[in-house]
Amino acid sequence: MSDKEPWWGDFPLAEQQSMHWSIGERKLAIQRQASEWNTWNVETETENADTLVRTDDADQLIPDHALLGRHLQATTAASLRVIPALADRSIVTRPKVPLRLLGGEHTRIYVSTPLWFKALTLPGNLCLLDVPFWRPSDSWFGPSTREGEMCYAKYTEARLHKELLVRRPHRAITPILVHNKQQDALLIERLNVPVPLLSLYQDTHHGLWTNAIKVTREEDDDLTELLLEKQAPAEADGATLVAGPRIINDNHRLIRSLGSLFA
Amino acid sequence: MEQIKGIVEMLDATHLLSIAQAILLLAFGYIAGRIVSTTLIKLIHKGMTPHGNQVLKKSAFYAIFGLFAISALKQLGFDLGALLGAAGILTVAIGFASQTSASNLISGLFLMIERPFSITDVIRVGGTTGEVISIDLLSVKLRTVDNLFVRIPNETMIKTEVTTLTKFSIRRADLQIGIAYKEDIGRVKTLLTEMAQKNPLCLEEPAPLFVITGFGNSSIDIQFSVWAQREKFLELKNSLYEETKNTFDREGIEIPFPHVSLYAGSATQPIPITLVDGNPINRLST
Repeated sequence: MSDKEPWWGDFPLAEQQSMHWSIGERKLAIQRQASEWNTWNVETETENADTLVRTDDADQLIPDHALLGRHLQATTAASLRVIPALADRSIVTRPKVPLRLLGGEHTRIYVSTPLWFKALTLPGNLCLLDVPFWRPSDSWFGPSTREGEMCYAKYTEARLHKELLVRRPHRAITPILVHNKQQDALLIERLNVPVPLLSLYQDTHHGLWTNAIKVTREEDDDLTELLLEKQAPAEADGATLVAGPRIINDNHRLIRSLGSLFA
Repeated sequence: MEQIKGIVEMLDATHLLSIAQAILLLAFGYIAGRIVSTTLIKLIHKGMTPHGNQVLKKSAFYAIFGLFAISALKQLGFDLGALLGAAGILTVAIGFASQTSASNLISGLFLMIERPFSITDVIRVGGTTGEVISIDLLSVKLRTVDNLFVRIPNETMIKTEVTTLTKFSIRRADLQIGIAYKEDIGRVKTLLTEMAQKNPLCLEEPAPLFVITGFGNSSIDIQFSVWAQREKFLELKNSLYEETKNTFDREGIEIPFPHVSLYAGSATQPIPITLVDGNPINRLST
């Protein structure tokens, strides 16, 4: 697979043929048989920065214990759809050093969130595989241990410039525009990114982006308005839609209490 | 003709006809109650909890059956007004006679109103932990994790401490760890924190808690508390204990255990040791 080719898309797959995706030691494989699909998942503990390679040779050996599932179908079709997907829960990102947005200011923060690998049959779009490249750690986000929601946690560099972003094929970037209309500074220690509500776009270099989130802290009260932009972010040149959101929410304007977004 | 008249008169005199009608009414009431309550649940079971389902089903059944039972009593010629009066006296009598049942019954009502747990919740009562499979007027039925059926009287439920394990989404696992006195506590804390961070089941927030609980007889006692999603609680606890052992072994941190020194006392001789075939075998002198 050349760098110019994305790791997702629709791939033709002959009977007994298998296709492999690997980032270093992390491997995923799918094999088509006459009436079943076999999937393999070789996990590694730590995330690596290697490039994602897709191969379709059958010589690659995958240990038996990594066999994840056998999916039975009367007759398997000759093509397979692979798409990147965002996490199935919100992701709480934590800047390494808490940020303080001064009163009356606005800023654009870039956070990258981990991607899931999703394989579907064609036609029918039946799910064969939906696994994260590296599963983020579980976390709880809420005012107390009684109220809140299960999330994933991820440390972030919280880059302020697009040029500083480290592009990785197994991560997507979400631009977050924060506007603090109040006079006192807004402390951002954690930020809850509702990724299941976001769509995925690819730019011309096959970098993955989500639609931007606009967070406004209103002048008079502590309520925060969260606006999910409907189109691809301006940073993604020539963006095309790759995958829709996991949870369809027609209401793109969400009002949340401040505590439910920042903490 | 005379014979039929005779039979009817006899039936009238012995109230057999009324009794038969009353039995029929009761049977019909029972069947009608069953059908109506089951149909009701089938119609509106969506969006209701299993607990709500059961309460609704039972209420519908007892209401219908109660009405038919009253009709049956009327059929038998009972004056309901007098019967209610008699019921007052009867209640006192029954109350004394069946104190336990009555107490369970009232406790059951309180349990239903208070709802400290509902059906499918996992609760711990005394030493029993299990999933609630039904909350009835007299008792609560549990299915324990080793698949036993346990009936706990409602009175016990009201009187004793009941812990609902499935009330909240997250739980804390307290790992009790002992390290040798020579170990560096700061290093152990760093190792444990790193281990928790690497485990995806361990929640980042609320953050793990490292508490030194005291200086024990042979170890520094540490409590390392980590949070997990309720369903993953046991999995996390197991994996962290295993990882702690592996990490401590790798890093050369000693997990001490109590040692026993055998002392024969000052009045007796030291314990003799005999070597057999070059192997040391300790033998107590007799």
